[in-house]
Parts: sequence; structure tokens; C-alpha cells
Amino acid sequence: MRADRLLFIGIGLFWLIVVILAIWLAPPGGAGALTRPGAQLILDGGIRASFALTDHNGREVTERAFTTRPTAWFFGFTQCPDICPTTLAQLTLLLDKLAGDAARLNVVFVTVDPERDPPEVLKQYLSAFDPRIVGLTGTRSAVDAMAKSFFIYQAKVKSPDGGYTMDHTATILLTDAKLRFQGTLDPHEDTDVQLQKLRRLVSRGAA
Amino acid sequence: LPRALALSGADRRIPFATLLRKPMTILRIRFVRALALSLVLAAAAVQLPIAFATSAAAHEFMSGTIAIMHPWIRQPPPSSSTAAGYLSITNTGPSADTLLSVESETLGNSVLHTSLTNGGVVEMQTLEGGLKIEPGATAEMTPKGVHFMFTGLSQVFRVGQLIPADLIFEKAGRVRVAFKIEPISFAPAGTAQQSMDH
Repeated sequence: MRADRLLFIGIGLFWLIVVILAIWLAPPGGAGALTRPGAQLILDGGIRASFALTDHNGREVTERAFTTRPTAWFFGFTQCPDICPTTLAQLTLLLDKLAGDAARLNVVFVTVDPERDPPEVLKQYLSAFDPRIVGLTGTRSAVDAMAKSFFIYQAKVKSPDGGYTMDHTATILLTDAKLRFQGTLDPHEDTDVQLQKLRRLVSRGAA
Repeated sequence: LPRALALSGADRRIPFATLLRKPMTILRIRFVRALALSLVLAAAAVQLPIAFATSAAAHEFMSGTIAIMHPWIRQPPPSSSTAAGYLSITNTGPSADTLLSVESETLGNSVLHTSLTNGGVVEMQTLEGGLKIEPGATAEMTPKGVHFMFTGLSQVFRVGQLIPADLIFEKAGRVRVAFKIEPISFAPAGTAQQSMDH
């Protein structure tokens, strides 16, 4: 009985020491990992955005409208049946869960199908989601240039019924208030993971 | 501590003298009990509607050995003339069957699609040859995966509305179902807007 207890305490102490050593020896993770010199170069050279587009209320906007706080950028189109409404519903849920922090973040939906998505269509479409989501559209060339500067792939694909659909990057890009790339939200991630990323983004944005 | 211990098991016969001397303590015990009871009741009250909601939301269609659970469509946002339909199919029969297509007067053109994510890029592809359901297996059609794409929709859909449609199977043939219009924020139980490994 006594030997058992000693063994138990011994194992407990062993693991305690292992954990303490691991914490002490491990390299700084999280934000620290992103600020290692090699990674910094890529991140600082990130998005070099300058664009002139129109928002869903018909106002002309440039990148400067998104330099007061961090921004989450999602590219899609209103005739998209699956990914786009699912993702915008998810962004609506995330804004709701962010509560007060939501006011420290822009959420932007850029159409990759400006031919079918003029401002008034975007406005109607976005009325189904969180009112804080901003829609952007413009001429085909303005949208192309903007998407390219954000490393977004988009291509028109003919569908059998004679219409077309768009292939597009569905990863959500995160930028800080200086429009520097800060990471992504993957559409297949857990809500909690996405929430943590957004919370970190806005807390860094405040620093 | 001893007093707390004594009190926790003591209220069965609290001496009248104690009651006079420590009315606050007695009250506290009553309060804690009332609180506990109200918590249990509140939990039950919360549970009940959830149980009702799931049983109401789950609608099911059977044809032979094919069971179709909760065919649903995310309510299309205004100005969108496309929508996606989802469902799950269980095959309890001894041989595989294949879902080929859907036909509906209300829902217009449809394609059996899958959303494929490749390097962050999403492309929709026609599911050539249909969706095969092995014997004993359940095939899930959920957001960001296999779905029916409906195009050319012109009418407004209300949440809760049921849209009749026929699913066409290779062996089971034509199976009549009804797609339920769910709110934009709807996430089917189990998937709840969570990650799905592809």
C-alpha cells in the first residue's frame, strides 16, 4: 500500500518535471512563431493593395476605408449556392459571438462576379446577413486587379445549363489596420478556432 | 466548517431554539435548495423545446430499403436565383444504390454537385455517375460538400416551407420527398458549421 502510494507520487513528480522542462525549453509559439526573421519578410511584403471599388451602398471606396482597423476579406458571388451563403452565415455567427470586439473589425465581401453583382444586387443579398458586412464591387478590371493583389484566384466556368459559375478562393484573408497580411480563416475550420484567430487579430490591431 | 457540515445534514429536525437563534442560516439552506430546484426546472424547460425542435426539424422519407433524412434548402438570400439542397440517405438493403438526380417543378434546373476545395480554391463539379450509397451506409449531403444546385429560381421561399421533389435512384427509382426551407443560419445537427475533413 505504502509502496503503491510512493510509486504514484513518483510518477506524478516525474510528469510535473517533464511538463515544466517542456514549457521552459520550448520555443515561443503563437505570435512568436510568426515574428521570426524569415517569416517577417514574407508578411511585411504581403498585400500591397490599392483599389478603387464601389460599396453596396453605391459609395466609391479605396483601400483607405480599411486602414482604421483589421479586416476579414471574403471573395465570392451572389449566384453561388453553397460555399458563399454558408460562409457569410458563418461570418454573421462569428460577428455575433465577437460581441463588443466586432466593432474593432471590418468584414468585407468582394464579388468576383461584378457583371451580375452591381451595388444594388449586393445590397439586397447582404441584407440576409450581418449588417456590418460591407460588399464591394466594381468594373471587371478593377475587381480583377484587386483580387490579384490579394492573391485571390477566380475564374468563370461555363455550366451545362448555358449559364456560368465562378471558381474562386474561399479562404478568408485577415489584414491588420496597415493592410498587412495577418493570416487566414479556412472555411473548414471549427467556429472556436476562427473566433480565436479573430480575437487575436483585433487585440493586435489595438496594440 | 463543522457548523456547515452539521447544517448540511441537519434540517430534518432543526431545534426550535436554533431556528430562533439562526433564522438567517435556515433561510440560506432554503434559498440554496430553491435555487437548485429552479436550476433543474430551468434546465428541463430549456431541454424540452430543443427536443421538440429536433423532432420537428427531422423529417424522413422511406422507399423500400432507402431512407432519406431531412432534405433541406438554405433559404436563398434576396437577389440570389440559386440555392443548394442537402439531405442524407441511409441504405439498409443488401446492395448498393445510386442517387442520380432530383426533379421538381418548383426548383427548376438542378445539378448534383460537389464543392471541391483545392489549395483554398473552391470549384463545383458535377458528380459524374451520381452519389453511390453502399449497403448499410449513410451518404451525407452537407454544406461545402455534395449538394444539389438549383438554378433559375424566381420565387421567394419562406422559412419552413416544404417544396415537393422527386429523387431519382438507379434502383429505388422515383422517391417523393419534400425539401424544407431552413433559415440562412441553419446548420444541420452534427455538422454545426464545424470542420469537415476532405
